[in-house]
Amino acid sequence: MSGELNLFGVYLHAELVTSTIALALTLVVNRVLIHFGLYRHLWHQALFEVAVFVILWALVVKLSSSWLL
Amino acid sequence: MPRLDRDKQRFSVNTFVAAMLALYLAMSIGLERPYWAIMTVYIVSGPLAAAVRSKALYRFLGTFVGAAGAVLLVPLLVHAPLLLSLAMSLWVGGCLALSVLDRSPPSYILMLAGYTCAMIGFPAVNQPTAIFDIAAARVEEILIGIACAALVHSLVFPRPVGTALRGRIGHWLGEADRWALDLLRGELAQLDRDRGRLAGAASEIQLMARHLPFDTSFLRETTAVVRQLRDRVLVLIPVLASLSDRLAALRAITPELDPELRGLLAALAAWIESGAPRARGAALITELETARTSMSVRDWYGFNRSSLLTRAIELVRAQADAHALHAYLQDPEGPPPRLFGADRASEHRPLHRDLGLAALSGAAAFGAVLLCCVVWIWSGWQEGESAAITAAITCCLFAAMDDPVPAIRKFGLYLVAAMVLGALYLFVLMPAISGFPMLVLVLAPTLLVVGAMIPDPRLAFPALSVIVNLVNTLVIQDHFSADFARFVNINLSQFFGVFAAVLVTRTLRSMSAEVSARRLLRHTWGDLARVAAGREEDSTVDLASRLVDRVGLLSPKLAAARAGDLKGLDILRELRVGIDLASLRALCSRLPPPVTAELEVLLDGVGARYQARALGVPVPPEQPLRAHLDRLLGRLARGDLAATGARGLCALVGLRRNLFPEAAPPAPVVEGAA
Repeated sequence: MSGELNLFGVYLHAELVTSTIALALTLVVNRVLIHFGLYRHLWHQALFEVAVFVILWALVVKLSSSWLL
Repeated sequence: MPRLDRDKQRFSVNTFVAAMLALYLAMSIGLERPYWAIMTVYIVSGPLAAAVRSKALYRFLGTFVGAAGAVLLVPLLVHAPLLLSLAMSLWVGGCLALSVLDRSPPSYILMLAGYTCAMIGFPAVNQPTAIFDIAAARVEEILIGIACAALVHSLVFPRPVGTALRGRIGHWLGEADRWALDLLRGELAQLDRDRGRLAGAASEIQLMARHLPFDTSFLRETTAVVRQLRDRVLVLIPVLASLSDRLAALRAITPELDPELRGLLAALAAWIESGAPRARGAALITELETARTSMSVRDWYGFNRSSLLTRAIELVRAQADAHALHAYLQDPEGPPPRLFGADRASEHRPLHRDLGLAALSGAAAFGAVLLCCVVWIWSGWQEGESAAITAAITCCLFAAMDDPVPAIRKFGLYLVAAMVLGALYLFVLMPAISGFPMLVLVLAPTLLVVGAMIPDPRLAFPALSVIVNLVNTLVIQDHFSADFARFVNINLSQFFGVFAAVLVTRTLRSMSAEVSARRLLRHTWGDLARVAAGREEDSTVDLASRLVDRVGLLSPKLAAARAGDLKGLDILRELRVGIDLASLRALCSRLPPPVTAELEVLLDGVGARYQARALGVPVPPEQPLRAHLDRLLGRLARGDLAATGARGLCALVGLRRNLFPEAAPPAPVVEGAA
């Protein structure tokens, strides 16, 4: 999926919008994981974070293409 | 030549990879100025992964606000160029002033919002209808740069800020221990060492801790612990400073002290040497308290002794907590340590802020940008926009310095280096190559070599200036075929921007280290006057944070100052006075009413003296104030020395020592006299 997303009359790259949503979701998920102290058991935390982000981004793209666009 | 170690090589390679990734992405989605993404990568990158991530977030927010400002201002005022210039300069100056006021990392947001608005807005004046697309494209380019930098620096061998911070704190505590040991053992030769540095290091720790929530290691879970530790660090400096002062007073009266005190100090030193364990600390506190109540306080020696013991108890509490927290930081498994003090700490402590200086910095940026705009409009010089942008950037980047002019001049010098390199790229290399892989190969040598210089604090500034200016030069070819006239024009225009920044900054706000030191002192005195008058709303730790920060800022400036009255100034004195005044103010409501009334009179007198010093008017005579203080001391000493009285006495003794260091000791208290 590529193209432009019409956001209140403003055209933006769809990737920009979906990735921003995914980033916000990643931050929320991170907060929860930190709260439960999961991170100290991980080997490479930044890598884990990126993986979470990619998964969420994929989800956002999938959902947005079926529901929103 | 500085050594090229592994970390630097790794940093350089990481940043280069991130930059090329950003360039590739920006080119592949067809953004018109892909080189902006490279520039962003280099600006955001730093050796600590967490700092890259927090800076990335701040840069994103700042860019967004700046772009919004440009979108708002340009279409509205584009038909009135002078008004538009005025509005843009005001925006840059206003953002910069607010950003200088707050020295913590998030202030970066506002600084960026200021010059990003100029960077996006000025080139768009010729096509105002397209301003939104231009702004959106710039934001996207910058976003790609930020994302790539954050990604690569977090993934490839990240250096967590947590470990670095832990090392810093450990080192700091070691220094504090050594200071305590030196003064407890009476090694006077060591005492003259520069303890102001410790205050500066405390502020650095505080600023570094702001990046901790962004860390790539699980240490970000320990943010709360680091905050508690920071509060202990802030308390330790004034406590150690007063301990050292009281000990000096006692040794001046009886060089070998009394046997009980000698024993206690030795025990304290042994305790610190053994790593300040909590259990033994609790026992020490009891011993110190008994010693304080056992001896009747009648003369100056007794006063100082009681004051010393009160401070020693505070030292034990702070040291035990600090070491326990530091041990917990090293190994955060298991329950958090039990503490003597509060186990909650507020998120941030205030640092020194200087409203006047911030306003001047803002005014300088405003003036420089406006000057460039006026020349640009009147001369009809097409490339004049570069001058305005360069003026905005240089004024913003160096606003935190005492005297930004030398740095701005050097920036101009690096501009020449970048220009030569840029010419080489634009007119020799670029026309000869085609395709992305070739471009990477061509860029690699310069970016890799200069990038390796960034982690070195001394070389960071020139390296970054060269890279940013070089990439800025490359931007030209995105729009126009490499045209030598335009290239020269833009570079001349940039020089004019640097020149305008130097001119305006020098007339408005350059100051020597000496002037800046006096300014800091005046601010401190103003603070002390406010505390004495009871108009200070911040807590004692907040006050300590501000005062400690000022000591940290002052100590290098005093070392550089040549004026006689600034040499050998005891900068810890104001810190001690501030803490004493704050604790006396806090006691005001808890003492019997007649004593409170007397205390109020004393505090008002002290406040008036500091107010006068802050304003630079003649200071009221000290004699009546000293007599009053001595009377109050006698009254407190005759009263029953419960906890409040002891604390009041401790603070009063401190006040007398620091306000009137040369005065003869007060007369001994006579039993029964009124």
